[in-house]
Amino acid sequence: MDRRTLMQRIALAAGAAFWMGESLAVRMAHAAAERPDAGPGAPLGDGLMGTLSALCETVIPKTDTPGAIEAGVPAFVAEMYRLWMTDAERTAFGDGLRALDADAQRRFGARFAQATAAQQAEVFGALREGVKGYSPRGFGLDARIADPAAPFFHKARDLITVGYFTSKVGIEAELAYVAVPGRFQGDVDVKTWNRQMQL
Amino acid sequence: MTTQYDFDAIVVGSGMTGGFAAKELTERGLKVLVLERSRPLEHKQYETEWTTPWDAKFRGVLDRDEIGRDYPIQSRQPFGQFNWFNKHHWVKDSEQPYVQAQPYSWIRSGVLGGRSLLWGRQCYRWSDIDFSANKADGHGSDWPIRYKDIERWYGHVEDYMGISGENLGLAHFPDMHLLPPMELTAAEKVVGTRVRQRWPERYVTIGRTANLTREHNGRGPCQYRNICQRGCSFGGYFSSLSASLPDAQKTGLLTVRTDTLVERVLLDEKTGRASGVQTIDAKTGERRVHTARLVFLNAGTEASVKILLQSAEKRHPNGLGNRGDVLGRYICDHDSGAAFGVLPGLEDRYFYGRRANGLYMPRFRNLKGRDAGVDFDRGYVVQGGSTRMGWTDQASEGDDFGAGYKKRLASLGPWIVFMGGFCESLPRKDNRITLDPAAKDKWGLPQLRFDVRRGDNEEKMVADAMRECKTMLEAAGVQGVRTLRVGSTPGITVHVQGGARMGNDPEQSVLDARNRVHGVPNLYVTDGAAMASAGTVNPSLTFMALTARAVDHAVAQLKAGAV
Repeated sequence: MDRRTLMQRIALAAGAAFWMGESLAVRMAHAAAERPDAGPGAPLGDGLMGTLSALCETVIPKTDTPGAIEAGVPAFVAEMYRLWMTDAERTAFGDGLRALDADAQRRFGARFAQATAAQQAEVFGALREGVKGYSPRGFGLDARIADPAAPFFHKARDLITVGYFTSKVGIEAELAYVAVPGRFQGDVDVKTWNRQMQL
Repeated sequence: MTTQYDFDAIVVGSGMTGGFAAKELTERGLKVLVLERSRPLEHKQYETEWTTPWDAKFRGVLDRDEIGRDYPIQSRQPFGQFNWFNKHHWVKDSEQPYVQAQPYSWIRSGVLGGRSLLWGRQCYRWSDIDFSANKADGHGSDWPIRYKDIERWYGHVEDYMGISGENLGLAHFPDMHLLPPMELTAAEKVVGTRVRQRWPERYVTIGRTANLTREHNGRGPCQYRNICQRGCSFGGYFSSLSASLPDAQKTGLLTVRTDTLVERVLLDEKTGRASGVQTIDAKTGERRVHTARLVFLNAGTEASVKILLQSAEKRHPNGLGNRGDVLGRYICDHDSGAAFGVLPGLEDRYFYGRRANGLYMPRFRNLKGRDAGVDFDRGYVVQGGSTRMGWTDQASEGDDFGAGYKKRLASLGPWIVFMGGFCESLPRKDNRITLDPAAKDKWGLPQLRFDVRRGDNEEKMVADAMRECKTMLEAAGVQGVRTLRVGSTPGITVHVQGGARMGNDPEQSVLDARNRVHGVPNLYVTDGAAMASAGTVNPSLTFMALTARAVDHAVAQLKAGAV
């Protein structure tokens, strides 16, 4: 990709940092209107929790810092499944997890959770091809998460990402929680401070 | 005959101007009743102030059902003002409906302290370019005051509130009484320098904000959390809850009644003066009368106009002060369009802390009448800022996952720089709010009906602002610049003004040069409703200065026995 295209793509993502309004609200209103039966659904079946946990660790693995499982991400995504998703999203999400198992079975003769990390990455990565045509209306992660039509690949990746980078474990390992910064310095060397401050 | 009054003064509304009116009135020895339609909220009792990301419901992902049902309008604010941590401070649209003859975003607070809890905190003085604009170009009616009439009151308000920033010594962007400025970021310094090199008359300065850079009047300083709208128990920024209402309380002369709507201002049968207000208990529906020698309307632009309309009676059949069919008309605000992009380089520079402020550029268009090649009247200021892309921004890009993805999101992304014009909309007669003839609220009061539109001048000015912002960013080396119109819906920038404009002619204005309703000399309106035009800069400081000036006048009248 040439630099100009890269900059334009980054700038588009940058819109999220700058502008988070109308399209998100409209999308939410539509999502609500399309779902008269608002309310919690059934929890994710036990058979799929193992698949979800393995997927969480596939997206955010343990490295020299803790991974998604240690940060409690599977429970967060399961909660979003039960209390936050629309019925259609729940169906798509459950189908997505089952498809991971089926594909792992087909490729490697094992359920997704029993496959190796490399095999899991291959199975989940194979979904990329199917989402190339998708782009959310509006800017950024929030808009995509709120989109009931977001494909399983994005819904899973996005919720796992949020679950990790808002967890105490994830923030303390990768970012920084500073309840009271107490000062602002506009121009510091990244050698002295390079962490994204969360509140 | 001596009339017994419950209070010396009633102030309707507890927001920016209401809280401040209460403070000024009580400190001059008056017994004051503040009426607030919303629920109570105590300073330092802010329910989400210390909520960590991992304790936030759904980790801060908004519940689409709730937003769609209760906040479809409030949540449309363009700059992230509506979020999981402050949604409980806005009104529920589902509970306080209004009629949109044309699309209009009526953004309102649902708590004591009003929008002072939720405001953008940017504070600027008007200059005589603003006060003389109507006369100069013929839009709207001439302001009855000029800068010299309000200058000392600006200083009075600034000394009390505490505003940080930088003076530039520009006639069209008056110096203020300021606390030390916050710092620009590395990216903003670069952009500012490069813009100035090409356009010497375009200054990039740090915003002047009511966030305290040092302790001031027992409040603050700002702790650089940038979570102001959760409520700040440090009193790091000015709000009615952190400053004016507690100071009014200290006098022992303040009474606050929350959950109390004002239906109408009551006039004395014989004198025609305001004698008090009729209220409705928002919980029980019970109606009550409170009496006072003075009444201040500070309900917020739209709501103050609504009360004046609802107060119609035989001497004022079309609403108070509405002899010439001006009440509810000439609604104006700021339209807005922005540009943003990525500034390459400066990878080794970052910032520490979360600054609740941004960059600011004083008006540069049409300072002496129309500039050559410009196809609109008046002008705009530019507000902006910068950050480095964080994990949310970087997660929305790409389709990677795994160890590299985790590392990418945790690292600092490129610098993003943005600039947006805040464009003065013209005061036009057709832009009006009225009482809807059919729709009622749950207390049986008529709903407000909005018929406000953008016009040709706004379209041209916003186009120019977006073009200039893009040009300036590109000249500064910013790449991939995109533009976006964010203020096309009237009301959305929450700078709404007019509806009960000031003026010397009672046929052509609702308020006189002292903010008194024509024909009702003890009824003052000192919020945005009083404005005869929208000016270029962020408006709250001017509402506050008009309030201080009006209180001074009202108390003098009272002591002289004139009311």
